[in-house]
Amino acid sequence: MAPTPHQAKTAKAKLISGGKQPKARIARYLKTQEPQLVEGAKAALLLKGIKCSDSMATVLKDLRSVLSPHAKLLTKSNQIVAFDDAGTQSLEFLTTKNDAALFAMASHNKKRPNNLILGRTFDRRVLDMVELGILQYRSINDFPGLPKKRLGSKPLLHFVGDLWSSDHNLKSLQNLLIDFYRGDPVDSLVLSGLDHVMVFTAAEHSIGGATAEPIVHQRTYFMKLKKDPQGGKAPAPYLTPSGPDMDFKLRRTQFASPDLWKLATKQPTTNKTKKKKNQTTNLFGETLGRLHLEKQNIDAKSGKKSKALRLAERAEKEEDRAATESELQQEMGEMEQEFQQTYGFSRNDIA
Amino acid sequence: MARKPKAQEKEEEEASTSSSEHEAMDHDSDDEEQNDDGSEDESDDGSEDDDGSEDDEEVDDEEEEQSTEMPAAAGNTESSNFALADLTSFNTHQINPSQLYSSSSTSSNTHYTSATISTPIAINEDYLLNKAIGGTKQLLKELWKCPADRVDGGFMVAKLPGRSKADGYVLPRMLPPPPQKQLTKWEKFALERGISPKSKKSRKQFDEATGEWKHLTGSLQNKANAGPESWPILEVKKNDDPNQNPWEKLREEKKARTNKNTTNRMKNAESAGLLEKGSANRMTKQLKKMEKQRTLSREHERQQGIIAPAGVPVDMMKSTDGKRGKPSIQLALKATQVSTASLGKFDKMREGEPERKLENQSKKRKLLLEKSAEQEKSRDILTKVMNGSKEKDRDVKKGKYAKGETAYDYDYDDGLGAGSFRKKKGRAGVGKMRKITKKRIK
Repeated sequence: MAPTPHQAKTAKAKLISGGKQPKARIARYLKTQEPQLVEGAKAALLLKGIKCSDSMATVLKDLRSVLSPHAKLLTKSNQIVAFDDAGTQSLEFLTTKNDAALFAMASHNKKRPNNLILGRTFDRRVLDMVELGILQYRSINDFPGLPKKRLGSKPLLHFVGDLWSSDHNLKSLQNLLIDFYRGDPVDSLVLSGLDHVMVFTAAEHSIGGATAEPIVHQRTYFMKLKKDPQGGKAPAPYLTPSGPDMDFKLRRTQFASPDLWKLATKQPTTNKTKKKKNQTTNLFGETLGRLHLEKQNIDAKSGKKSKALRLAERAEKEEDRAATESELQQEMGEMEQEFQQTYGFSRNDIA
Repeated sequence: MARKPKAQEKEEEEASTSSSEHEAMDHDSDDEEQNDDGSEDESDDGSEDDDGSEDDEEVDDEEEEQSTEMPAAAGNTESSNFALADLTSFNTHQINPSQLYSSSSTSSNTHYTSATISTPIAINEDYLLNKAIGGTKQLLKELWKCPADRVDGGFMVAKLPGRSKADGYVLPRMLPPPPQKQLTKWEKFALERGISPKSKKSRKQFDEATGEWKHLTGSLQNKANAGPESWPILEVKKNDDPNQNPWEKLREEKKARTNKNTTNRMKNAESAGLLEKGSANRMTKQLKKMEKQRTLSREHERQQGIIAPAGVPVDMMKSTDGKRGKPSIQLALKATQVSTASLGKFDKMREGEPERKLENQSKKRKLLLEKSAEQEKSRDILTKVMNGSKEKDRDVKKGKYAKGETAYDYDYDDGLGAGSFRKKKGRAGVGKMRKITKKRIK
């Protein structure tokens, strides 16, 4: 769980007002933890529940191999009941501390054998949680000698069946599975590096005479791309089974409320790709531009005067002053003369 | 099939994974597939059942020849929807459960021998494989339609299309999107006036005086090009008061500058929404108050003679008559008196020692002599506790009472209490936690 908005604000105020600044390395790490405009890959936290069998432990280990380097496997068992409030809090705490947005918790007990809880968080709080009961599991080790995918390669994801769109639980699960397995979100890709496919088939089947319920068959195939004998640019895929393969059914689910989902899927307001305006290329290949000038408010914001202007103004002022001074002097002289003429002596002689 | 022009072939070779070891095998498989293609094409547009059975036969033939090959023309022609940004495709056609859950008879399941967790359900792996092949083929076809550039190293980098509503799904974010960056007051002004930002300075500058590379900011000793302020002697300029301590003045000026910087930064952060409303004003007031206190205390100390005013010889001071040091010694004695573990309570008193007093011992409380006043006060407290007060609501809203809820609080209880920790081995871990099971009779 993250600090409340009030706590965050007071901490920030303390920092700005000269509080203890974190070290540069820690400051850089904190910056990566802030919300980013474009987000990278989601890290997954893999942990064990109250009691975990060996086979479930291999499930987690395989998940780690598939999802690495964005996966963290915790070895200790945790006393967490995921669908309880306290358990949810614990999961939120653990995912926050380990910087993981996805989590998978494996457990095994008599009531829920081979249990795997997949979930994801938004804003450091649990968003979705699905409990899967694994009916069949083939680990990577169950396919010895066969080629396996490379570390960190992106899978091709394929969903088969109409149940994915008709059943609302499966629809949300589909979203969760894509989020789990897609890896790094990228804009461009070296297509020759694609080396595996994950196929999720959803079908209804009644197990042991009970009512038919949806079962999901997850298969991972190693893919070898070879030139298509039928022609065409795209290669032909050659699929061989590699682990892990999982057949599971849905047990409990806790999907996000519509409000929370809306918040979580809100994208940042990005500037749409702007068309280049005011540029035209003519026949000769010359690019011409068009300038639109706003009305310049000359009176409001005056700029700095150039040195020459200032000096000129100063010189003008001096000139004016000199001119007025000389005028005054003249007048004074004239007055003096008048005085002399009328009274016969100059004014200076009196004082 | 006619030989394709060499250029096209080269392109395709680049597209596939290059591994020379499989080169020979490629040629072999190509030839075989060409032969098989002829027979398959006619029946390709049949129903799904036909496809399945024929594919099985296909697989058998292939298996005998090579170990890691699979039929090229297998897979159904069901069209899928694509979401290429995540390399995802959706085949929304219905599944045939009877086919899927039929027990597979062929030996194609040589790979599916062991299982970590097994199930009694019989699953036809070939059916799943065929669906996978069909879907993957179509997805690859779509991917290869994307525009590609050549990058250093000879790789073709395809530009994937962006996400759109047509994908059919939206993936949630990890954290809410960051708030849009607000321009600070200076940035707005600079934009208006057309002032370009300053060019970046290098972190260290060559200090002429010491001949070292020093940082631009720091104390007067460690700063680069510190100037005349860092020298031991400061001249008194025309407009300076000769009785003022110039270093004190410099320190005051620096403090004023930093306070201004702090308040401006807080104002900018507040207008950007990063801080609580009113926190900048509060900080300004706090800083002003502190400055006032500082000046007052300095004046007080100066009057007491604890700090000698700079620039005036000690013996010339009128106010203290040469007793400059005594008040400071008295203060020092006062502090030392209570500097023991028991705050000077049980220490022996010396001759002429003044009484020991620990400051801020007694909390000033109003003495309510009247019974009714005391009752009223108690009643106020009771109502506030029972019915809640405006102040408490405000604080709760702010999150002040959120203690123990977040991981950042010391008392956080994450559910993994101390009681859950126990050693696994040995009798030391056995406590109340051990499940009581029936003992086996050996």
